[in-house]
Amino acid sequence: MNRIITIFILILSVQNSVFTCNSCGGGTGDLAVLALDGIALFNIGVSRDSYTGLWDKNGSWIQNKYSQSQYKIILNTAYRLNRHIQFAVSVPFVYNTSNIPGLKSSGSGIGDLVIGGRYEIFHEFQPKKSGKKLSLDRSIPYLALTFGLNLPTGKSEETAENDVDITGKGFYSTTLGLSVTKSIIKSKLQILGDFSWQHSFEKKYDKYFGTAIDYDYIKQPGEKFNYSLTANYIFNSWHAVSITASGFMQNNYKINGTEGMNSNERSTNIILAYTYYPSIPFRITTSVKLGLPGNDFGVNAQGSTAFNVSFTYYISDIK
Amino acid sequence: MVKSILIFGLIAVIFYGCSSDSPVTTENNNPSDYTKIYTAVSGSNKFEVYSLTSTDFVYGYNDIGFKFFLNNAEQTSGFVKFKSTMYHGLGGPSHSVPASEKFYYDGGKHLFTGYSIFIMYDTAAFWTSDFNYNDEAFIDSSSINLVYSSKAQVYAWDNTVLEHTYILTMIEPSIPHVGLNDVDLMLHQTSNMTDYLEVNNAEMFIKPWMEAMGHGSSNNTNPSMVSPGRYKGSANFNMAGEWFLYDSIKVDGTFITRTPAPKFILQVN
Repeated sequence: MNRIITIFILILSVQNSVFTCNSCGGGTGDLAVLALDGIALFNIGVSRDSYTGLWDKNGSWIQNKYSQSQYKIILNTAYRLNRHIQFAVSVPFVYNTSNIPGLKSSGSGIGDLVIGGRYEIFHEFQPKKSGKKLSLDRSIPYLALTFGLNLPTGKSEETAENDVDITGKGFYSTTLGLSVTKSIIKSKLQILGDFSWQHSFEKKYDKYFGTAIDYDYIKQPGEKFNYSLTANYIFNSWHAVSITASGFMQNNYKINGTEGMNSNERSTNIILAYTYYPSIPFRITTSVKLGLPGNDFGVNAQGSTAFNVSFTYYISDIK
Repeated sequence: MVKSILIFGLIAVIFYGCSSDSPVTTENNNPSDYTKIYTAVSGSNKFEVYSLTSTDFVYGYNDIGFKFFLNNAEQTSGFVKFKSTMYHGLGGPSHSVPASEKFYYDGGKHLFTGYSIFIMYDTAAFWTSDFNYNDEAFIDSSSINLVYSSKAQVYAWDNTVLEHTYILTMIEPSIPHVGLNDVDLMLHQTSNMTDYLEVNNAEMFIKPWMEAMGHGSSNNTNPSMVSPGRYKGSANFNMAGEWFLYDSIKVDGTFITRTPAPKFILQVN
């Protein structure tokens, strides 16, 4: 039973990479999260994201005729400062491949570095006094204010010389959000929700694909809303599964202060994950993210299928 | 029975003999790849028009060739001139279109070859063409039919400083696809919409741009002149969807295009 409870706590630290950005580096959704009893965690994840097609401006699905993939190795670490505050860092290494004829077939490099944290307002199952008795509070959900910063450490359209060399977005972005978890059946089933608003700062380009430009080119992506809803189910002390619906909606971008017509973006994904706990401080998670290939499941966005495996080592303060 | 065998044998020998000793023709004067789309006849003059582009005269660029017959004898030397005029309704304004100044005979194609660019399409308009062989034989104002082509891309703009109208015609990509595409363009100028000059030695700067996604692409090659008025380069459309292909053009060191630059809209698959 103790093992299940510990794993249940660990589940809070699952928050698997939601692959918020398909084409470039990481996103603040890639950050790892610590449970209340955790001091620190170290995570390494490997993923392969294969682009299956895209949704055009009308939401029509266009199948990709070529094989284009992005492999990522993501190093994550999280550190808890106190019972309310924790920080996390994510460093991706990106390797892109493409078989489009006549173009460079692979490129790689460091992606965008992501730092972030959360202020945890409530934790679930905390002791409360009712009269002289001490009991667990079963009504209050886990609630945290989340924040993140995406640093453009990867190669963007400005610095990359080929499409396939792009490993980052090229601009700074911040996220501010809420993270909620509510156990439906204690130690068995929980629902997690993550919602964030992402603001990207404008970027002035001096070059485009490595070539100097002599015209004004200042780009700012639109305001973005990210969401994910997850249901976790714990079978026993060794196995847990989850299903996540995630996606984003983004307003029109601006170039030199003018909005791009019909350039709003959105997409939806389903993520299925399985976690194996060979021992208490260690877990292995595999997941598959499925874009929904079909009309109206996205707009101006690429659809993909991603496979991910990650290994997490967890340092608990349970003595 | 013996008589029948002898007759059959005789016929066989005759046919064998004809096929080996007397070829029907050794020269094929039918142009390969081209389709005959029009014939103009007047008296002893006959012009046959062939197209590599379509089965009709079509809006946009037309790769065409001519056969000229004088008293039913095909002529294979000299040149052909071809000038088309668009009339915007009866009594309305009219204008000509860019075309090869002279169509010279290509022995490989068995045609007088060149191009004509039908720069407008209007269902209310009608077209006529003037045919000229060697400045000796003429057929004037022969009515032709123009068919619309969704693949055609023609962009025209006025430059009030230089007092020219420029016509930029996209020949390729006609069927744009993901990846590198050949870009084949023609640039003409006119001051009166009657006489068109091929613009040579222009500098072109192309920019493929996916407006909806807000990005461009790498590995593009700016078109450079390959023949009078004609420029070739390449454009990379790195994903399917709607792309704009902008083309900023300099002549004698000065931009002749406006800002934003002329753009062609392409549906890439």
